[in-house]
Amino acid sequence: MNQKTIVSMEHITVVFPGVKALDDVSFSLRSGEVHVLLGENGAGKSTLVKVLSGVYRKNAGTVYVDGEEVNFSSTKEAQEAGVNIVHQELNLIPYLTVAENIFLGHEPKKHGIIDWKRMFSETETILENLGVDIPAKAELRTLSVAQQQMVEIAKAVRLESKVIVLDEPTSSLTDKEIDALFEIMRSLRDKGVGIIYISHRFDEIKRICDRATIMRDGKYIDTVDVAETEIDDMIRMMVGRELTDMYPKTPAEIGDVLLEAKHFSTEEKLRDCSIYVRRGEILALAGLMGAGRTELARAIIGADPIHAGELFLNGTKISVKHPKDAVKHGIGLVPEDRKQQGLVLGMSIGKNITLANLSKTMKSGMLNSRVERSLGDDAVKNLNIRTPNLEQRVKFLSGGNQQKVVIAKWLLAEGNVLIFDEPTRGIDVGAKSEIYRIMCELAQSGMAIIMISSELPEVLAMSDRIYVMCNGEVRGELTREEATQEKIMYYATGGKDHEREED
Amino acid sequence: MKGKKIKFSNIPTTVITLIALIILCIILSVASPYFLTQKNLTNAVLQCAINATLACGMTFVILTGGIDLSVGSVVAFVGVMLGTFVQGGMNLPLAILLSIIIGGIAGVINGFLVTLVKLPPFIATLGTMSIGRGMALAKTGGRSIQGLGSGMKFIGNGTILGIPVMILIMVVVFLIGIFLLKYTKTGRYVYAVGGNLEATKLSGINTNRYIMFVYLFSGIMSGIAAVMLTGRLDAAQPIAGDGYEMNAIAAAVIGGTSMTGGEGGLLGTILGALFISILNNGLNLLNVSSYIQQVAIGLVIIFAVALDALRSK
Amino acid sequence: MLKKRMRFAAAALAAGIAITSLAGCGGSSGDSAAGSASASSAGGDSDSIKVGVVLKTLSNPFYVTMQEAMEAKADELGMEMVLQAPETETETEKQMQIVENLVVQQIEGLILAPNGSSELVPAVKEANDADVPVVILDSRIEEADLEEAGAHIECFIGSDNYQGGQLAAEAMSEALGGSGKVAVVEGISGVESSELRVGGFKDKVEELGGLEVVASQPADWEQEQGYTVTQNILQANPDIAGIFCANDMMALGAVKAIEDAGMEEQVTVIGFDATDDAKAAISEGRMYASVGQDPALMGEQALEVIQSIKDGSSYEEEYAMDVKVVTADDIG
Repeated sequence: MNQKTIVSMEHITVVFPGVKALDDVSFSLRSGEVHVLLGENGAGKSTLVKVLSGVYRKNAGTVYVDGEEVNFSSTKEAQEAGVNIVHQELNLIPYLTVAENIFLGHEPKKHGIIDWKRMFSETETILENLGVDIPAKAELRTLSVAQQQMVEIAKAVRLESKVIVLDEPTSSLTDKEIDALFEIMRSLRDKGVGIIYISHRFDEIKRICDRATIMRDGKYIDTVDVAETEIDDMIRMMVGRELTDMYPKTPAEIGDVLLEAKHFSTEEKLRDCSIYVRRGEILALAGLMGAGRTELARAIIGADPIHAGELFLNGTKISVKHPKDAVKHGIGLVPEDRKQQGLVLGMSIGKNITLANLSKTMKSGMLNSRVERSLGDDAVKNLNIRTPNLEQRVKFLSGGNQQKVVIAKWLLAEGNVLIFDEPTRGIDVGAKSEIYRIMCELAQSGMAIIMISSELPEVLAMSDRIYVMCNGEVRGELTREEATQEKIMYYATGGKDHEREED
Repeated sequence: MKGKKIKFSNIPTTVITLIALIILCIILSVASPYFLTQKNLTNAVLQCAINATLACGMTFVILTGGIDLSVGSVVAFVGVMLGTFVQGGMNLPLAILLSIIIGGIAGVINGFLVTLVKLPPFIATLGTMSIGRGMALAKTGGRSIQGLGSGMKFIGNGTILGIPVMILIMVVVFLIGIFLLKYTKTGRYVYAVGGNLEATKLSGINTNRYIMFVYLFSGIMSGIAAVMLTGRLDAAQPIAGDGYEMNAIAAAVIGGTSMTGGEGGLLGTILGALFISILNNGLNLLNVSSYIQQVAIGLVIIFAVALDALRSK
Repeated sequence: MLKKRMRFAAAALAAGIAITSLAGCGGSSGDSAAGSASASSAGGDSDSIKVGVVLKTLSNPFYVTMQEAMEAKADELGMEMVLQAPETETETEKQMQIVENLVVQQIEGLILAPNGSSELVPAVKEANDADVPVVILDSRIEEADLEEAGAHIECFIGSDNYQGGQLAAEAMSEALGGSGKVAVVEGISGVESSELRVGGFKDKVEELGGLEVVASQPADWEQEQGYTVTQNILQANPDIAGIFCANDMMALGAVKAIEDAGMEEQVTVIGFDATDDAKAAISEGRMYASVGQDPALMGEQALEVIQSIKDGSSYEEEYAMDVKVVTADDIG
């Protein structure tokens, strides 16, 4: 095939405060190919495409598009050069029509006013060429997610893109919709468009992709021909790193089953999920982002409604319809998004700590500030929360200390089960270790810990048992002994139990 | 100040409001010989009693991040109901109790619309504001109900131990409000809901219950204010209370309660209500027209909020 | 740090500065419509009588005319006059506050144009308790309510509103040639002056025969509401021939609504008060007539009564100032 290189990124380095997000990464894209970027969450795939599309500025390295050196400072500049990105989270406006969305910012004008007729007819042409059946005048919000995705692609097509970046486009699509998407991708490829594809699903990668570039920890690992490479080899390249000793795992006595969720399903995401956790156990829910782990946790504590499912505590069925029921039964959630869901940022540390169990601060029917202060002081001391005083508002604390305040809140609530959702995200290395130590201590004290984590080393080092989720289902269960990064990745990217029997 | 550096941003808003109020009083006592008389000061406090009572309820609502635009209309509606009860010969304490309950019911309707129907508070209470006014006018055919007897007059103009009844009512209302906010779970949850609804819900708190509570509380305050106003005028007017919601919001905001919720308190609100009242009173004494008074209040609101924004930078 | 301290200083002082400057602005603008004046020439004179005046509002030119005449009269009598008014004629409690604040200033006489027929009784009582004689202007306060509260007034000065309504009906009948459909735009329901004007009009219409009142709706004395209400009346009664409005503000709103509907040839409008704006509209032929009260005369009479009370000379308990119909012929 006579393919020329349309994008060439050489020795790209991007530094965020404290982190090297990209470290000397090189990447090239030919016209008429689908090129997949592979890597774990945080490997730097998104950063790389954001550098290409002008969202981030690089600290070092060179980018060439069509042989010319470019230095985009905005997505608009990148668009003008023919580089378009279809984001994972759609950037469309729900109350505008399909045509208005496709032409947003580039509306055709006649005598200074919008030429609606032309806008609609051109939209229809584009959609027809893509082979999709969406009315140009439909309001965007009336479309399915897949159709919205098509509109995003149509937007990129209209701009006569040379390069289209698709960031996990299939995560919310059905099989049929994926087929349609691939059809469009093939036709674009045949027209000479270069497509950068980000996905974790190896079955799809095998179907549609020509080459794969594998990244890990912000570094370039290798570029391979997809047809000639085994999936296992690619996974190994993605995860192959050494474990460090930052995980202070201490053994705890594992007791009876404490909490069991059976056949949990929700309208949107979860399909027949069953998990259990025992006293003293740290149970990990592994998987990729969007696998449904947070949804499962929220369903268990009653934050979101379930379609089907039963919850058992100590073998007795309990009804949890609202987080207040969960708290009553001693189940707490340390959410992924601390600032939005875990803390009242404008309130003091002391008041945040007592929020889930104010009754403890009551004395003769009234809130007692002296009792509250002593409870807060104890928590600050036990969890080593670094703050000048209890009156400090939590918004002024570092991520690690904020996390400890959330944990302190649940300790005061005297729970039996604590669910940690991505407990160490956005927390510096020192505080991470402290959070791990606290988790181990809680397990030792007889609590059951459920840890949702996308970081494989963390999962492997901290957990006694692991469930791996994918697409709203629990795909596999692994004990601490049998778990490896490869096995987790296998399930997380859609592998099924019985297939594994073969190896 | 004793060589010690006090960071401006660390001074509580309440203290700033208090300082501003004191400065205002000093200026007014220099500008008008009548300002610093016992009678006038009593008047000024008396004139703020109704607004302060409404502002007390409003503060609870605003603390949760909501707003209650219906208070003025509820005052009018409850007022005409009270007028009807009293003229119909109902026993006065019972009539008053019923009136306050009607205010509470209006609040429950607001709370229901906000929590269960999930309307934005602005829209929900905009609707009930119009409904309340319309019902008050329809009930009376637009006429006021007059001559309600000595009991009502006592509430409006009487004194106990030399202190006007209206002021006593206001003080009791604030003591209850302050107690609720500081010493009960309800109060704490009101702050938490306004600070972060989702986090509060995930902490196992029935947030809807407390949102419902603040609208109920505000409705009860409207009921009490209606009793006060009806007593003061010795008449129930369907057009009464027009624009009272804005004065109540102004008092809360001047007192440092944040419109986004979670921050503020009743001490600030009472100072804010006093500030507005004393400013009006002073400008009356200085013979400044009512139009200019409006300008002054507007400036104070903008200034107070701008100051808070600057301080939190 | 300096910046912070400056901010603090600004914070501490700004409120005060705002107040003083506003106060200054209010005091020095005695001749502006919004500002209310005190007769500064007599201000320092200990012999001069200090009179408090509370009008219904100053957003109706009728009361502005009254205010101006009273200022001149107060100067002439050597009185010190303090005049205040709420923004709208619906604000009863605001008037009450103003009265309280005036009584504190040791006024020696109170002239009050009440926004309501009995709601201001407690205010009158307040003045009584401070031995301040009260003269009620323009709208009556129910005698029974006063008695019940143990309050009393010295004098009532008003126009004969009922007579005015009757005159308006006669003028309307004449203008329409004795027959046709007419509508009435009322003031605030329950307010005596509105009830009397409307009552006088309707009674006379019945007495005369020929005219038919097909609609009667309140527009709360306001121009904008007068517009809306008239619009609705025109919609419902396309064959309407005449509209009587209980004041000129509403009449001007009605005229505008009729013009916007292109029905100015068909509909005759009669207002009440004969304000300058209304007179201008009458002389331009946009409005037919207005029943003239004389606000200046009413205000002056009130001040004279206060003077008589102070002098110990005699005065009437009630003055019903005559009214007359003002048409283009009268203005010339």
